[in-house]
Amino acid sequence: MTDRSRITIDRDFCAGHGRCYTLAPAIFEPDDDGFPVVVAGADDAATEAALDRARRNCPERAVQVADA
Amino acid sequence: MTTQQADSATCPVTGARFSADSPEIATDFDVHSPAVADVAYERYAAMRAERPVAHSDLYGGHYVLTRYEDIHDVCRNPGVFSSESVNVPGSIGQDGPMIPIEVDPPDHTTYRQIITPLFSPKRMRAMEDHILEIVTELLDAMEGKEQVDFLNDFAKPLPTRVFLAMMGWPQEHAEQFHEWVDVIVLGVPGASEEEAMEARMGAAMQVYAYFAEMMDERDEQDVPEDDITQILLDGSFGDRDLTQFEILNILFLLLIAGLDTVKGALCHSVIYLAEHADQRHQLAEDPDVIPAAVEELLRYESAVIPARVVKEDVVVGDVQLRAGDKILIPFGAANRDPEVFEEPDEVDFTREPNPHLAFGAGPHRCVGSHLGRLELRIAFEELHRRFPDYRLDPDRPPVRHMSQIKGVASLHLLLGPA
Repeated sequence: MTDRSRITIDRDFCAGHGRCYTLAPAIFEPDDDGFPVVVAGADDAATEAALDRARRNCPERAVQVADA
Repeated sequence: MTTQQADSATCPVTGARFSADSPEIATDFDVHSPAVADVAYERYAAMRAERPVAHSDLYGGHYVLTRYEDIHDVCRNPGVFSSESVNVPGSIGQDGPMIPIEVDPPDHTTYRQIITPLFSPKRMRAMEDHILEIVTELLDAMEGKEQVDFLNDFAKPLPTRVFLAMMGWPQEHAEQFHEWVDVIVLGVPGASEEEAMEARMGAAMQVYAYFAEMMDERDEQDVPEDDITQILLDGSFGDRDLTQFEILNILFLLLIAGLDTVKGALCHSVIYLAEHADQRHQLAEDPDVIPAAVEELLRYESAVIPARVVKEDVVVGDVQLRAGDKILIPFGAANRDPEVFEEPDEVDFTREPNPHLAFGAGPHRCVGSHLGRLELRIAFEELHRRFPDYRLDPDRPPVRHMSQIKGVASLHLLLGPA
């Protein structure tokens, strides 16, 4: 279980590749320009796995998950 | 008194051991040499192992970086590594900086605020049906044939027709665009550097004249459209209108960055899939695999090999770079770095993670990445649904080419099971 408040995008580095909202569409959504917005946390094993994929596949290392 | 050997003298301040004239880092890598096209990844691997920050005397002298971390750092530090000139040698015939790639922040940021929304996922979703129509039409023409020229019958027209549709320009101009872009990107294979530059400048002039004509027609018609031409004509930079010069240089970049890149990715992927039936059949039988396959094939063959200009003295690895130096950052070299990708020379659709740099990184991230991914996904879905079996024509093997957009000059397929 990862609360939405623990998930952040580092805006200094996010370049709008869109890997996060492609890999974890339940957690991230694109805004009008294609930059991600965190819309939900991860509340089961599948969304936790998707969140982890989003974090690890970001070419800018901009998806951050704070410790509980 | 120091006892260090001259050949391993390390600067106590910067840690640099080598500079441009050090024989230890010399390379003869030539990004435009046809001889490199079939061995580019072997060359990158050798450089990465022996001299990850290599220096070539070609084209006025430039460095070649091959480690993922170094290329990633360069992309994300535009203040030190400027993209004011992204080509080696310095021009492909453009008149003025290509916008926004050859502009640094802060102006770059303003231009991107205009251009990024043009290629947003939302606008791309609206293009999806139209892309599918073009793909369907091109594949319809392949039905019933045993041999196809995949390059000329599919890989070239698809991105060109999508580009023309997004611009709001006539589809029948596609053929003319292929000629211009080939000359601008490739120069004239076999010709001297001077001859190639002359040809590039001639083609670029024709491109600018065409763009200007399309813009003039828009003024006369005075019919507002929701296409890129009109959005740019109506666009502003801060509190002033975009100038025609700016719009021309935006369009020029969209043209050379949006056509040959997709063409190259389509051809490279199809060459690989033609020779790997199991993975090809996987795409045909389970289209859900295709998005991951697109990412992995983009990693495996990343077409773009941009350059940057060093703005201040800086040490990369153990090499002292100086302000004004040019560096080449092949994304394909970063994407085969074993430090980041296990078994980097294998295509693995389940690769995890896959933070590849096929679209670069940092503020100059390819603005067309969402469009490129969409074109590739639809193309792979439809091609493999309709033609699950194809192979390379043994009588006409594929021909690859170099240049700063690595690509394919010839690709003939035989359709149907072997």
